[in-house]
Amino acid sequence: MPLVPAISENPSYLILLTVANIYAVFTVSFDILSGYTGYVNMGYTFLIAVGGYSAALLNIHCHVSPFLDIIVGGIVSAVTSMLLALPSLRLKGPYFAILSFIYPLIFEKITKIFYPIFRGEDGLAGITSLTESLVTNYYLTLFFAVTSTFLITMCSNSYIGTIFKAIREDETACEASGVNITLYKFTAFTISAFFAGAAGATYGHIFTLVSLDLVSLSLLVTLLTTWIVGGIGTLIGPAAAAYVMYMLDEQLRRIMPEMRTSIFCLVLIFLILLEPQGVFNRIFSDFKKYLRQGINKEGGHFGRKDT
Amino acid sequence: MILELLIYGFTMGSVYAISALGLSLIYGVARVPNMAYGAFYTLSAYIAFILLNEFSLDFSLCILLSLFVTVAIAIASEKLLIKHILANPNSVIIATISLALFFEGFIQKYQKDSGYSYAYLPSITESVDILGIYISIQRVLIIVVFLVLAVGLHFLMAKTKVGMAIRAVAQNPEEAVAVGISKEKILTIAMGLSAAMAGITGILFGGMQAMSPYMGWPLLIKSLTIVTLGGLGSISGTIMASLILAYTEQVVASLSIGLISLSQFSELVSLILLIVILLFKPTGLLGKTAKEEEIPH
Repeated sequence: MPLVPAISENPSYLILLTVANIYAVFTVSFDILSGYTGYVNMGYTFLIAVGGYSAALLNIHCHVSPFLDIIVGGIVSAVTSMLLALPSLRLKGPYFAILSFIYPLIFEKITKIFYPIFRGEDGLAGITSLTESLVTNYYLTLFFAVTSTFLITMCSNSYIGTIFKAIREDETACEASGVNITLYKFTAFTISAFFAGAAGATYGHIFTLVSLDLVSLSLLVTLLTTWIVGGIGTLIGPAAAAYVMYMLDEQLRRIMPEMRTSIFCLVLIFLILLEPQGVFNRIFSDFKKYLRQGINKEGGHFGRKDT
Repeated sequence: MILELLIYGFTMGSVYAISALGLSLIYGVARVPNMAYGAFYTLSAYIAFILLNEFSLDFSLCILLSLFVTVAIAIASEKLLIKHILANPNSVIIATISLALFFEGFIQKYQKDSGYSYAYLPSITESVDILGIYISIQRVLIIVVFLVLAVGLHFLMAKTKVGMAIRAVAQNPEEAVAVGISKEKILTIAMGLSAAMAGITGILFGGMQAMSPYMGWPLLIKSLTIVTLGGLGSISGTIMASLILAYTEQVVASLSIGLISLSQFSELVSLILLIVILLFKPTGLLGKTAKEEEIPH
């Protein structure tokens, strides 16, 4: 990956990969909440948009430098995520999914009602580019993707990640064990939203425009497809899938722009029917099983029985 | 003026009620809302439009055919998709949202290729004089259809075997199966009936406002709000909630603070109302006392 600019100076490839880096952040931060704690956040695009729009407004009106407003975007999004975190204390499963689904719709309406500020359908244009050179942009977003994946993976491997998984498996039992699940849920929402917001802000700086595409259902479907292809709750899986899926997405956008979302929807429907835990998950577990069987055949004595 | 608002609000309330009654059927039986419900509404309106404009069939034949096709698509999606993932509600929500977007893509393509920027279904534009107010026959028709459907649905649910089976599955699926009701059959019937209701709404309402490929989403959210407000499985609760939503929207639309008109805010009413109800009383304000298992805790 880091060698790409050395091999090809073609700007279209560079931009493609730059955006794919941001998609990787989207899917990883989506996974830490939805895959780990089991609260499927259908309002995830709302968090991206909040980060993107707040950074854009700061950049356009107050001329804040891109690096500062990306962080501010992340923080604003993290604070806004309390709007989703608070309901999650009361609502579970489908009820939470429906509730979170409404937030992007409200956001869309508000940008249209307050047109002078948010510019509705037109979007906020005139954001400064991240840096002048495409190569630097690419390296910066790659750095962003790698660090955020690293930080989130660290987080998921620590005690916090264990609690997140416990919340997914059995919230009542987790609470009964004396864990303050409210705190951990808030943590999950904050981490997820911070990276979502920061990534949304970076997205704005790459395209020098934020529009209602950020809260569109087609973005949500693309992210969900990537998430399930990558494997729910594997973090690295969705991040890797983001590159593949974004390339496919761009190819489709070129060949048949109108049917792009429909095709993604069809893929998502088939995935949910056939492989709801994710494609990479199946490959991983098959690979592990294969390894274990190999060890059993050779050594056998320390091999555990599959339960 | 006030009488006019009352009648207009009642028309909107009737449209909402027809669609919400349909949604509550499938929501009650499947226990997960069908997020593709709005797409069936859009589909039926567009299928009727396509049949009318491309094949120039008689309009009443168009209505029948489009309802038939919509119901067939709904039943197919139930048989091929929803039935298999019912155990996981989150999957159903994701899958039905993508199903709706899937259809939306085709409708969008049709609208773009055909070049109709404003598509309307035929409607009856002549007005009648009721108590000194001119109201279009289309509105009267909507109210009549609503009343017929509401009464019909009430009898179906209360008197017929199918209706009782639907209610049984909605109340207690395990015991319904134990007394010999086929859950799968009931799910198919509920899906078909609900798609028919969505289709009727689409055809009635497609004549009153410009059709767009995205028009299903607001109606889905409004129906969800109404069903949550009125309580699942209560026909009278649903009708009351529809009227409450319709009148609230109308009041908000006619309000203004100083010079700023609040008309645009009326679209936000259902969204915010849904959040508030889900948060504070997810079992519905007007529904019967909810059973323990329906409380999402």
